[in-house]
Amino acid sequence: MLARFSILLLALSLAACSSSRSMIPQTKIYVLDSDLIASTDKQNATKVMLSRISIADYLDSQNLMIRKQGNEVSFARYHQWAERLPSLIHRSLMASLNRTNDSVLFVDQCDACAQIAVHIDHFYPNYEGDVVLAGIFEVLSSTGHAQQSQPFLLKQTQTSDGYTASVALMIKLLDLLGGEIAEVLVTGD
Amino acid sequence: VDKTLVKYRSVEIGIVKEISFNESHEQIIVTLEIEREMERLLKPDTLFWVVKPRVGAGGISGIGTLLSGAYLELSAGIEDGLKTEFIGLESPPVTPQNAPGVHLTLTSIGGKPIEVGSPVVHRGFKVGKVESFEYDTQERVISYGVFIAAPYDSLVTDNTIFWNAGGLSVTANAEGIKVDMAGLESLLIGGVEFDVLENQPLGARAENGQQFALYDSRDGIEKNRVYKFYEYLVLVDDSVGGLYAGAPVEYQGIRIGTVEKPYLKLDAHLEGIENIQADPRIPVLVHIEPGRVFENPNADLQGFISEIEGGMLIGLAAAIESANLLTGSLKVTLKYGSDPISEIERYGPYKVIPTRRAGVAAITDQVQNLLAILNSLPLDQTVDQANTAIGTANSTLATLEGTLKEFEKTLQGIQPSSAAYESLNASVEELRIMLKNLQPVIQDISNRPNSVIFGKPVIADEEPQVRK
Repeated sequence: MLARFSILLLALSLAACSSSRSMIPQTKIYVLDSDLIASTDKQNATKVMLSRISIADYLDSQNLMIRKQGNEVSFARYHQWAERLPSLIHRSLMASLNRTNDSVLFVDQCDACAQIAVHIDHFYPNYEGDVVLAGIFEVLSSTGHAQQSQPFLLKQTQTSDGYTASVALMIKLLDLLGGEIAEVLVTGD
Repeated sequence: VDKTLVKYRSVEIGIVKEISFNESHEQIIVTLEIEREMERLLKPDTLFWVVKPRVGAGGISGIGTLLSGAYLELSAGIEDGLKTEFIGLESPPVTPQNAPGVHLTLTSIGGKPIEVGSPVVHRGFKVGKVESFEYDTQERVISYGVFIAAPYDSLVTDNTIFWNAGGLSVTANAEGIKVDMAGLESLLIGGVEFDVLENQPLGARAENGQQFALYDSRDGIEKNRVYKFYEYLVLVDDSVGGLYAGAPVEYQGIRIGTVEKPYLKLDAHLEGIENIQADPRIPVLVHIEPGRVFENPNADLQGFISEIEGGMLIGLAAAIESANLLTGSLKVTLKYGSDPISEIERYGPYKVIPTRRAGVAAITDQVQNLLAILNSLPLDQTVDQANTAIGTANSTLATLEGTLKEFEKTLQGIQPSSAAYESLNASVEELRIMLKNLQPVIQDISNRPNSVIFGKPVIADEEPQVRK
């Protein structure tokens, strides 16, 4: 009797395990690379180094997040970044910058070049259906001295639900940021 | 005869009555008739001379006699008595017989000659005349008789210095060229000047007939001034070449004496010294002249000498030193610092000032002492030890160099730009991310410990929605 009860209990447990496994959502992995290709073959272009991307600590998570009402944030379990978010942003922004400006070639490393440093404080979808990108970027001289600081706040409204739509808008926001940076470099304003 | 007049202060008092020769025809005898009331002028020291045109160093005199003719003039004496026979003077006396003033005698050993009638000047002002001169062939000195007229005779005192002011003196030094002369008359015919030296007391008023030295020039006064002296010997081991008579004896740069003889002759006879040649030391005779360092010539000179001799007992000694590097002349210097002595050595009749080595000799002694010390040092052994130490140091340095290179390689391996550093950095970053990702799990377990076994309910992620 006891043996039968034990076997029944074990079978139920296994069934519970298998049924619970079949209910776990699939984890989705995201990148921020655009489909558009950036040209890096620019004759006589001035080189500018995209020196560093820094993000707020709470953003530096492998999981995507949504900002809910008030100051509550919610991190997704099943929606993750493929790499560290700063690396993804750096690559996406570099491509965006090189797409928008033919007279300047943005690179990872160069000697005695002007530099761009970007710090992002907000980069997430919110409960209102907007995706926000906000922070500040600096134009630095070749010796590292700050010549210009420019804050930015960019928003795009989601047209469909889900993190997939949010990530698409985040890519678009990075593209817009690239345009703003290029404009500042060219005009000096 | 019966024409040539006899005058006293340009007043006729008599006439020439007869002119004749003496028996040997070597003298002219002039017989005068003098008015009876003028008899009182005929004193034993009355002087007669012929007044006629004369041209001399003092100028031209007696021009008036060209028209009036020569005449006899007399200078009345002051002695008591009556005299009727006189010897006429070749030339008129320089000064009147009983003129108020003082007559002095100046002795000179040479120098520029001074003519009779030359002025005696005090600070550019003519106050007297040279009346006569005489050369003493025995003493080989010249004596000048001078007269200082009143009231200027009070200027002459015991401490008055006379010097030959004839001609002009030219002095060239760093300040320029200086030309001195007592006056045009002195420039042409010579003269004597006198004064009391600066900072010297005047002394008592000079008396008639007092003797003074006549210096060759103002500058020569200090050089040739005669001081009272005390004789000493300095026995020298070194060369006295360059030491001459008249060289100074100094103490701390102040002249206190003179070298009388740079060396006594080998055949000098000294009481108590039978053979001067037996002593290899050279005896230098010096005069210590205390008067050089006292303003008052009547100061206690003996006291000074006692001080000097007392100093010798406690280390005062003499040395021959260079006086002039260009000419090579030497001098004698006294200085403290030598070993004390128990008593003053005597050399014949002289007291001996102790000697010390100075100048080149002292330097030579010091160099010799230094060489002796250097010679006694074990330099060979020291050099060998130094060579061994250098060899060891070389090998140590080579080893140290290799060690430093290895250390440098190690440091390069862990620099921020090195691969190892970057790898380590990346590993730390991954660990950080992993811990961050584990944090929610840990939080869940902490909230629901049984979720480890039973799991937690699967809840779908809250995803962004389109704005409603």
